[in-house]
Amino acid sequence: MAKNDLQGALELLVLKTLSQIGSLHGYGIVLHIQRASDDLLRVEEGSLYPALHRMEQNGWIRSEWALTETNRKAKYYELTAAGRRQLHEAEKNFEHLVKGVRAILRYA
Amino acid sequence: MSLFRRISNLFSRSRVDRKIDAELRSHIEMRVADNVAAGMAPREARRDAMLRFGNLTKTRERVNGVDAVLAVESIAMDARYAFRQLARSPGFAVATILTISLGVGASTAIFGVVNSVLVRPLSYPHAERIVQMEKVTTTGSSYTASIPLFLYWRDHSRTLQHLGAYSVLPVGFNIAERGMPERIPGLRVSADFFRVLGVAPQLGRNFTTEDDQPGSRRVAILGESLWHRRYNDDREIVGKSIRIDGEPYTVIGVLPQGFQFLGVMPTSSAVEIWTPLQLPTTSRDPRSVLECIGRLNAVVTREQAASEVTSLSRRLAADLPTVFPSAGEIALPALQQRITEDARPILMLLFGAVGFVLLIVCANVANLLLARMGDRAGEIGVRNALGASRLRIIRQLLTENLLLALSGGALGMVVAWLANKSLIAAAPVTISRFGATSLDWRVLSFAVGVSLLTGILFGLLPAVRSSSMGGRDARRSTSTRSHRRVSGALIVAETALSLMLLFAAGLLVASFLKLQQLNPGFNYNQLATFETTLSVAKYGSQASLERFLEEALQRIQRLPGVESAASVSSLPTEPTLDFPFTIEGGAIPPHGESSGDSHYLIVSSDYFQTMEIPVLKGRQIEQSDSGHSPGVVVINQAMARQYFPNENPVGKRIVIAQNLGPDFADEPREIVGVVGDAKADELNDSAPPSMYTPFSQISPHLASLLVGTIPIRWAVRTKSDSENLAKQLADAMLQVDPEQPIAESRTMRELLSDALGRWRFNMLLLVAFAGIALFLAAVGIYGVISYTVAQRTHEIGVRMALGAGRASILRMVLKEGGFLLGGGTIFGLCGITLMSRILNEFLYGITVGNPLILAGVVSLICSVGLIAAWRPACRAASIDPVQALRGE
Repeated sequence: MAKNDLQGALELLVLKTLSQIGSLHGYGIVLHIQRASDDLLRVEEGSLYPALHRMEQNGWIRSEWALTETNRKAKYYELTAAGRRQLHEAEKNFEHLVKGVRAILRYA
Repeated sequence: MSLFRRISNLFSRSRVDRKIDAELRSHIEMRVADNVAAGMAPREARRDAMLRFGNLTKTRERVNGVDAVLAVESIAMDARYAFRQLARSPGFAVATILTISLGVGASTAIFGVVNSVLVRPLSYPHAERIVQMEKVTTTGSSYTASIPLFLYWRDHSRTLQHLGAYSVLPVGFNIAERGMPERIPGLRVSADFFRVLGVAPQLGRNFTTEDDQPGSRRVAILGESLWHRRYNDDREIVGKSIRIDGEPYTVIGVLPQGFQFLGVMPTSSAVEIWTPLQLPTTSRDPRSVLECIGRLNAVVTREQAASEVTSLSRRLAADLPTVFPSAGEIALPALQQRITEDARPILMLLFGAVGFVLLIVCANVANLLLARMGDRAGEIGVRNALGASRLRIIRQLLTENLLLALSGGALGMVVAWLANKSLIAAAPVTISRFGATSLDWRVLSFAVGVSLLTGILFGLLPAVRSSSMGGRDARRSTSTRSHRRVSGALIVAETALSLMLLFAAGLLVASFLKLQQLNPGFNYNQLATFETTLSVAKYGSQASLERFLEEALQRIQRLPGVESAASVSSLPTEPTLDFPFTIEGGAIPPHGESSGDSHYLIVSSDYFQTMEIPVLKGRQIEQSDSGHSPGVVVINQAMARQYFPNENPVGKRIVIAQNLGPDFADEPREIVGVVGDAKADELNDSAPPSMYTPFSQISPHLASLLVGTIPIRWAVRTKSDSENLAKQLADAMLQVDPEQPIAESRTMRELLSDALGRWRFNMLLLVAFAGIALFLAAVGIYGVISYTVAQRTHEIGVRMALGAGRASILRMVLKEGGFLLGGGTIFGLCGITLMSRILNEFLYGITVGNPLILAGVVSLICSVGLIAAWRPACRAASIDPVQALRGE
C-alpha cells in the first residue's frame, strides 16, 4: 500500500495535470484542476508551491522561467521521465485506495 | 535540482528568496489580471487574489524550508549511504584509500619541495621586483659584471630604484676575540645592497654612501646568529669596535633574525658579516668581479628596465672602447630565478617522475572502482528500475568516491609529511632553500586538488558507465566485456608508465655506481681536509705566506697519527683557477695569445705524496724548489697528452700567465715531472689539463691575491680514519698563530660524498618512485586478473566440464596477463624513446640506449606482472566445475 494522505493526492493531481498539459505555471495548475474537476476540487493555493518545490527536488518535475501569453514572467513546470514513472505509480496507488475505500463503504 | 545548485542555494539564501517571491507574486498578479478581466474593480481584484492565496509570508517560508532542508538531508543521506556501502566492502575501501594516499603523499611531498624552492617567493618585501643583472652574449650568459659597469648603472639608471652589488669572491673573516678563533663567512656589498632587498638592520643603521667610499673607516653589519652566538645579544654592540682579521671594524648594525641571502653561496655557509665593497670610482678594471642586483621602480616592467640597462652598457662601451670592446644585451631575470636555477632540472625530473606515479595511481583507482561497479551492477540496476534518475545514481556514486578521495587525501597528507622529512634529510647541500620546505596553503590545496582529481575525475568514468546499466543488462556479459577492455587499457598504460620509471631509475643507479667506482686519481681514504682564510695584513707577502705554511705543515706532520700533510690552492671537487700558458718554442694556435688554458694549482712540496697522486715521469716538487732555485712546474697526464703529444714534456719550458699583465708576469719554468690525472671540479667530467707550481715560487702579487681572495686548503694523510683529528689540527694551527682558525674540517670521503649528493638524491628518489610504480602496477594486474577470473567462473566451469585441463586454464589466464604486459612493454618502449633526450642530461658513463638495463627492467616488470597474475590464474585452475555451474 502506498502513502495515501492528502499530500499524495495533491501530487497526483499536479502530475496528471502536467502530463496532460505539458508545461504549466502554478496558477495555471490551480485553474486547470478547478476547471477539469468542474469546480469540485479547489487547490489551496498556498500549499501548492511547497509541493511543487518538493516534487522538483525529487526529480519528478523540472522548472523553467518563461513568459506567459500576457507577457508576464512565470515559472513553468513540466514532467521528467522519473515524474512520468511516479505518476504511473501514483495512479495505481490511487486506484487501490479508491477500491479499498469503496469496499469498506459497501461492507459497512 | 542539481547537487551543486542546492549547495549553492544554502549559501545564497537571499537569491533563493527572491526567486520564490517572484514565483508567488506572478501567481497573484495573474489572478488579479483574471479578476479584472472578469469585471472586478482593481482594488477588489487584488483583495480577492490575496485572500484566495492565503498567507503569503508563511507560504514563502514553507517553500524556502523545502528547498533548504531537503538539500542538507539528501547530502547527509548520500554520505550515510556511502559510508554503509564502503563499510560493507572494507577490502575495496582500504585498497582504494591506500592507493590514493600513496599518490597524494608522494606527489604532495615533491610538490612541497618544488613549492618551497621554486614557487614560493623569496622572503624579502616585494621580492618580485628584485632582479639580477645578466649579461647575454652570443656565446652564453653570465651573472657577473665589472666594477665600472656597475658604477655606471648605479649612477645613471632611472628604472631601478636601488642597485646593489656584491663581490663574487666569498670572504671568510677570522674573529679571534671573545672565544675560540673562528672563521665567519662574509660578503662585501655595495652601499645599497640591503635597500635592494628591502631589509633594514634591527639594530643600528644601514650602510651609507660614505661607508662605501674607498678609504673610509672600516665598518661591519653583523648577522643575527653571529650577534647572538658570539656577542650574547649585546644591544650595546652598535658603535663598538670588533677585531676582524686582526683589524678594528666598527659595528654599525645587526640584521633582523631569519635574514638570509642565498646568492652565490651554498646554504652551508650563511653569511654573518657584511662589509662595504668600497669600490674605487675611477676603476677601469674590465674583470667581472661583481654580481649586481636591483630593485625595480614600482611602475617599471622588467623589460623596460632591461632595455634601459642595456642601452646604458652600450653607452659606457662607446665611452670606453679600450676597456669594453663590445657590450652585449643585459637581461634582468628575477633574483628568485637566479637562486633556484640550479635546482630546477632536478626538481622538474622528480616532479615528472612523481607525475607518472600519480597517473598510475589514477589508473589503479579507476580500475578498483570499475571492478566494484561491476560487482554492484545488480544493485544499481535495481535502483535504476525503481525509478532513480541517472543523475541521482551518479550523484550517489560520486558521493562515495568523494568520501574515498578525501580519506585517501587525508592519509596522503600524513604520508607527505613523513616523506618530506626524509626528503630534507636526503637533500644535497647544493639546493638552496631546500631545508625551508614546509606545508603551506599552496601545498595543501595541491594535495586536496590531487585527491579530488584522482577520486572524482577517475571515479566519474565508472560512475557514468554503470549508471546507464539497465536492470536487464546489468548482469549481461556485454558490459563486463567492455569493462574488461577499459581496465585492460588502464593496465597497459600503468605497465608502460612503470616501465619508463623503472628504466630511468635503472639508468640513474648505473650512473651513480659508475661515479662511485670512479677512480678520482688519488687515494681519498684516510685523508682529512680543512681550509684557512688568511689575513692579507699578516700573510699577504710571499715570504710570510711561505713561512706560515711551512711552520704549520711541520706542526701538523708531527701530530700523532699523521703521515704527511700538504697545502694547496684548491682540492679536488672544488672550483679551480684557470691560467693561460705558453710553451717555449711551441706553436701558438691561430687567434690565440697563448698555447692554451689549464687549471693552475699551487701546492706545497708534499702534495702529491700526501694525495697519493702517482708521479709518472720525472720528479715531483721537492723542498729544494725554493724561491732561489730555478722555476719548476709539474703537469698532469691530461696536459701532457693534449699539449705534448708524442714527446716527453719533461725538460720543456713553459711561461704561465705571460699576457695577463705585469702583476702576474712569471719567469719561464721547466717541466720537471708528469703526474697522474686527479679529478677536479665536477666528478663526472674527465680530469682537465692541470699544472702545479710550488708556493715557494709564486710571484709576490699572486701571493697576495691568493691570500686575499681564496682560502688555503690543507690535506692531511692519516694512519687511520681517526675521528677527532679536527681538534688537534685546530690546536696545531693556533700554536703557529693564536688568532688563526681553521674551517670546513671534513674528510676527503665526505667531500666526495657531497659532490655525489645530487646524483645520490636523484637516484634514491627515482628508485623509490619506480618501486611504488612497480608495486602499484602489480596490484593493478592482480586486481584485474582476479576480477576477470571471478567474472568468468561460469565460463571456466563450462570449459572444464567440456574437458579443458587445469594446465590449459592456467595458461589461458596467464596469457591474458602476458597480453596486457606485452602491450604495456611496447608502449613503455615508445615512451622511453620519447624521453631519452631529457634523461640523457642526468646520466653519467651510460647512455639511454643501454641494452642491458633495458632488458633488465623489461624482464623485471614482466616477471613481477606474471607473479601478480599467477595467484588468480591458480585460482582459476582450481575452480570446481560442478560448483561453478551450480553457482549460476
